[in-house]
Amino acid sequence: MMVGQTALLLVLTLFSYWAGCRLHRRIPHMLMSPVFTSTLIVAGILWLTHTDYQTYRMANEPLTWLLGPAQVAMAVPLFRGWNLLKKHLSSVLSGVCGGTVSGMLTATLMGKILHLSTVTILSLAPKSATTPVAMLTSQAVGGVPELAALFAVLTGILGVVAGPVILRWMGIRNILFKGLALGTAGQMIGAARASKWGDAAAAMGIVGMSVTALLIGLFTPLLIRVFI
Amino acid sequence: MNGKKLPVWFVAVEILILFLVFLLGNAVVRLMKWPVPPGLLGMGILFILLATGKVRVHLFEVSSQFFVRHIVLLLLPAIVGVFRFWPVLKKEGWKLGLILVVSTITVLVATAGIARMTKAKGEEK
Repeated sequence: MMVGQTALLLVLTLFSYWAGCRLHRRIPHMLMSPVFTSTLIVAGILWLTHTDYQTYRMANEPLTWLLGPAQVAMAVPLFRGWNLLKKHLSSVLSGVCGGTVSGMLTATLMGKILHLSTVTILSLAPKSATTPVAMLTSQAVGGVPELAALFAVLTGILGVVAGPVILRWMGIRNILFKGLALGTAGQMIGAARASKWGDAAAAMGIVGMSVTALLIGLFTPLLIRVFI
Repeated sequence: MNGKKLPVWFVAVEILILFLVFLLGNAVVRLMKWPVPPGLLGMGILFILLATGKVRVHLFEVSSQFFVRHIVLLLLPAIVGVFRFWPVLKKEGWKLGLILVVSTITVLVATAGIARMTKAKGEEK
């Protein structure tokens, strides 16, 4: 019985993701992304069947294990973009550092000004890191991984929606910098969008994403000690 | 081994290797008490292996693409947990939304702006 339920709950995730992807292919809109639709399907079915979230989470532990290898695998795109990175090392590094730090500072300071709870701020701070890094980092400093995951995903979507408009408004024409900004602000989702501007932009997006993840993993604990 | 296409089951081997590298990163973080996320250290280890030519990038083709494309699947169980925080989101939703928008725009502007400012003179395109 228990084994059967565990397997079913795992299948539920796989099925919902598959359904979400199909739906997105049919209606290719940002809001129809599996991030939203599949989540709603899973939540709806859990609610209808009175299944406890903890039980669901335990059953889906195998998927969570894969987040580790997924992070390690980012070395591949980083390696591919390495030559581009080396060529533009100083501007890339200063851009990503400046962007990431200012993003973390605005989020933390605004959270303080708006009187958000410390736990919420700690879940917000690492939001421009790729979701697995954001989750693990936030957990390490005392935030809520689920909230961190949500904020990271929303940040990615916002970055993709606002990015092209803002960059055009700023008059940035260099596609390398455009890709870099999207990857830094919108991580994996941003880097995927940057690939529409070509391979070079995609590689820079991936570089932005990886360096951001690294910076956030390293500096969040420090930032927290200073501001919280 | 040198052919363009690796067999389908090889993905399992790829993921297993990636997992072992992750465990190695995890062990180092635990032992040395470094304040680095284990996954990132694992990424660094694999990067060094690739950069020094110890491992060929071709070996991780399929799995790295799979992870980039389907990361949402792996995150789904965690994202569903968001509904447990519904009261927080309902109460502070507008503040959170405002922070996300302002801070994401800040990141975009700062990254692209600083990158453009610091562009070395010799660099073109």
